[in-house]
Amino acid sequence: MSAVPSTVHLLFFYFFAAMTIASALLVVLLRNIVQSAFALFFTLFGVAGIYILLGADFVGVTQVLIYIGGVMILIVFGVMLTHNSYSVDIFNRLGTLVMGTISAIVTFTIIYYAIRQVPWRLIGYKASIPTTRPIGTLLMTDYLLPFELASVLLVLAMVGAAYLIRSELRVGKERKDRDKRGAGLERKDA
Amino acid sequence: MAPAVTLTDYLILSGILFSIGVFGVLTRKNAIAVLMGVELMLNAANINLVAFSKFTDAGVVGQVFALFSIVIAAAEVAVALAIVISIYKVTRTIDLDKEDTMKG
Repeated sequence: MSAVPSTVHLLFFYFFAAMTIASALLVVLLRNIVQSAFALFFTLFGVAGIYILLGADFVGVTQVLIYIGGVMILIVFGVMLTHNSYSVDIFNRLGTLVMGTISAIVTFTIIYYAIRQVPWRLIGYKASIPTTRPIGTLLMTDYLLPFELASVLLVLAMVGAAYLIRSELRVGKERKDRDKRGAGLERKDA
Repeated sequence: MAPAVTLTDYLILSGILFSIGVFGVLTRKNAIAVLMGVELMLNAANINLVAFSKFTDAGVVGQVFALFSIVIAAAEVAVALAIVISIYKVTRTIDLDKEDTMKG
């Protein structure tokens, strides 16, 4: 049937699935936000392994590059820049915890029954082929407009993120100048 | 012969991951921890897209959509973290229960 014996395939699937789910549970359950961030690293890596198992080599590599290389760095920086609020209680009260558990279970039940009910139009076993060339062809033909829009979106996000951070710095400086003149903004907290 | 991994297995894995993400988003107080829950949900959706591309006649289109989803997730994280850090600079906290400045 396939080049890889299906027992090996099954073992790899369970390995990556267990890694993904266990570390995802750690992400939502650990009290220390830094530890959560590092658990998320393993979740993303497990998902990349699942992509490779599904024969999506390009998506798997992109997952490693963008999520593990980019998004994780951003999140770790975010955690460190907001440093005085980590490792304190990051959980809500018990009531919220119970409601969250119920919502998660209900969500999973709905998804599970949907999966069981829908008659999927499955096709037989498809040999895994290198996908980079067909993806590139599709991006340059059928999906050219979304591709260009994605570029515009990335530029917008980059400029927007930089603007958000920069403008806050400028406001802080103006506030300091105003404080120096003796007409500081009232701050309720702090 | 051991049973092969089917589409249902991947979809159930994705459903579990999505539910864990829902739990994280609903129960965390820290804004960045909520963002991590959103990341889990996005990854669950991407597993679905790639699994459909493997097991149905959608072909490689599913993977193209997964790529777009990854790009949008990257943009989302950049803007969301910028907002979180901006809020932190003003209020000195990212506790979502205390961010009630706009409450009427």
